[in-house]
Amino acid sequence: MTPPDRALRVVPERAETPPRPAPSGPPILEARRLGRAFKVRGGLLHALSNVTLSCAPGTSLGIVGESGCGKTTLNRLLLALDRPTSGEVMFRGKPLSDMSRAEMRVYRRAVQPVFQNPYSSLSPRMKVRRIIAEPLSASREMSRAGVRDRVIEVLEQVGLSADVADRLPSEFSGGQRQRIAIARALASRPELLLLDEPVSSQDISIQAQILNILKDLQEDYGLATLFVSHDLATVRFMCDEVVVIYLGRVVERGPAARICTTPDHPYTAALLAAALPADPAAPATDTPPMGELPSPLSPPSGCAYHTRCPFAQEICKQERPVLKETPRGEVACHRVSAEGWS
Amino acid sequence: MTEPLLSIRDLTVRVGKHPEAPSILDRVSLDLMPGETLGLVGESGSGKSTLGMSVLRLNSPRLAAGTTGQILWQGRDVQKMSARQLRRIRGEEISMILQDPMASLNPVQSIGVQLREALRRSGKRNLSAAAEAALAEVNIPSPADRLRAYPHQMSGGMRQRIVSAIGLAQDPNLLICDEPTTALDATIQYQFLELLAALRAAHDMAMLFITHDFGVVARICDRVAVMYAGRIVETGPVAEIFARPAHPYTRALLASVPSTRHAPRRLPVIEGQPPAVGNRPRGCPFHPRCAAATDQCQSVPPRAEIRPGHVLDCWHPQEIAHDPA
Ligand SMILES: Nc1ncnc2c1ncn2[C@@H]1O[C@H](COP(=O)(O)OP(=O)(O)OP(=O)(O)O)[C@@H](O)[C@H]1O
Ligand SMILES: Nc1ncnc2c1ncn2[C@@H]1O[C@H](COP(=O)(O)OP(=O)(O)OP(=O)(O)O)[C@@H](O)[C@H]1O
Ligand code: SF4
Ligand code: SF4
Ligand SMILES: [Mg+2]
Ligand SMILES: [Mg+2]
Repeated sequence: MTPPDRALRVVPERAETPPRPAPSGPPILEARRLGRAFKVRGGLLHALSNVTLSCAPGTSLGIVGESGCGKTTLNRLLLALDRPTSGEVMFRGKPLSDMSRAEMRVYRRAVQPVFQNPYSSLSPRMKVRRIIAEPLSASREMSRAGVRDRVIEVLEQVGLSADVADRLPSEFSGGQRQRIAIARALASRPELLLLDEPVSSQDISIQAQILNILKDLQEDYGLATLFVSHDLATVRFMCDEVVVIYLGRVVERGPAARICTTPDHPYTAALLAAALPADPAAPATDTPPMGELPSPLSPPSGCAYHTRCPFAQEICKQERPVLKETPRGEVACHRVSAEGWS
Repeated sequence: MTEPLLSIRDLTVRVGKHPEAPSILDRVSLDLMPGETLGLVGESGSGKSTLGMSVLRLNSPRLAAGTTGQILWQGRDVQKMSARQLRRIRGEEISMILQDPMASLNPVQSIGVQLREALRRSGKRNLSAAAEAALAEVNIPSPADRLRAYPHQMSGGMRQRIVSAIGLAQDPNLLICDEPTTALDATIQYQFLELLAALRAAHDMAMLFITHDFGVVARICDRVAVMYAGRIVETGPVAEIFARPAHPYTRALLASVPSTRHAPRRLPVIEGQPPAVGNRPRGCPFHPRCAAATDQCQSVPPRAEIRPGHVLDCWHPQEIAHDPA
């Protein structure tokens, strides 16, 4: 076997995005030891276990992992579209479960979702103007003229012109619909956008346009984002920090640039190897992904990744590694310590 | 010089017979040599699937009626083949894998029944043993048990491997893959591409690989053809096209793909969106979105071979090296 520390150093670092201003203030939204188990035929399916994370003002957090690892489950819990079976979601330091109706209204305006599929997320019979104004209707303090101006303003922020407002979503292409969905999310002046695979169903040229719009929103308006994706390259572009999830558990966390160049966890290394670069001269990886995701209904013992891990040892089958802090972030692997690989 | 396995000349596919009907493909020409893998890359609606289906004459009757040009399979014109000749070619000489493996599998038949049928058609004896071997070849664990399973009992990655096993049962010379990995996770895609590369070598076959993903092209293809609005706008050896793309569309598209290796402040984008069939601009179809466009681009651009095998249709080729991300 290759010495692991060499094996995991995948590619050299290149030109870097200048660091964004440090996050300011207490977190907007937090997940504390969040868990969600579904009752299904054949038992309990632990879709999410013990996930702790926080979204601070002006930061951008990426959530990555394979299909079925629990990304959408997490997103739905954070949006209060579903309730956790353990742990808490906290908004401005207070558990959602303890909040009054008035507080929930504030939360609903401050935290806005954008989903993957702009076909199903926009009502087909409503004009764009009404779709966008809908999140504003809850607030009585806004005049009709104020709402009208706000609609135009957010349309411009996503690169659409004002005349779009009087048309139906069906008149637009997928990329334009996703812009409309983003404009809708922006209408209530949120502090945090929760984006669940917002570009996965789009063409390449349209993906780049939408990613740039989201980046503008992050940088120009200091909007915090949580970006759920199965694509590490997109996450590298969009996010400061990345959380990697495997079978519902956090296995690694760290700065996006570090995660995408020198991952600590073997699963992160496999995800990175699978993100094929558009470069036929790219060197072959030492850590190719192997095997398939085991059934979440009966996850492997010990480290759930041991069935696919090229570095697994006896202990990996018996003991679940805890998420430890290292100078590089956090990692749950028996073979990684604060000093590095062993 | 060896003859091409597949040679397409001026293939135009219109929606219906009328000579003015909107075209989906516009004078497409390409050659595929034995054992070679050609990547067909382009955005949604550019005509990739229509091209793949044309080779086996699988397009709808309306498109078939609007098809002109030549498709030569080992020198024989596919357009002129009888139904019997065509049946022989489909499966025996050319196989196809689609994005949705369920579309190629019968949901109410076990994997074993479907695989044995494909093997029987290819004249194999001892079908059960052959079926087990075929599943083992596509890395399906405990193949004997899996033969009794039904498609819905398997993961997407496993189904795609089973479709490949069925497609390869008759040892085709050409495998047409229409986005076979688009619905798969990146980790499963990676493994499937490795498997395809191994099968390609073992069966000595050519591949026409349709995708919208340049990473996949870089990984598995020898040559690449870039499609835009029903035309092949640039084609050449993979190393050449990625190092020195000269068509403004290829260059812009390559530059707009995010990479794990670096994070620019903004992605270079192509403004606007690809045109719909029936609404395609005259002349160079890319001109409304092209940063290098001039008035000249309203007329059909000339075709030029700027280096061996590197051909493009453009009035203003961009001869500057590209820095692969
Ligand atoms: N309502 C539900 N009932 C039962 N199981 C569920 C339910 N919702 C999700 N699951 C299961 O929980 C696990 C996590 O699903 P989730 O949708 O969160 O994954 P994901 O990471 O978003 O996947 P994808 O990338 O495919 O969107 C899966 O095994 C899924 O089958
Ligand atoms: N029978 C038909 N009648 C009319 N238009 C058609 C027909 N079949 C396909 N088209 C159109 O032709 C264009 C090209 O379709 P095709 O499926 O070949 O594109 P593609 O490049 O494979 O796209 P994708 O990446 O989405 O699969 C599309 O705009 C499609 O709507
Ligand atoms: S704990 Fe063991 S099996 Fe799990 S990732 Fe680390 S080395 Fe691999
Ligand atoms: S022909 Fe003109 S419009 Fe078309 S790609 Fe070349 S420069 Fe751009
Ligand atoms: Mg999901
Ligand atoms: Mg297609």
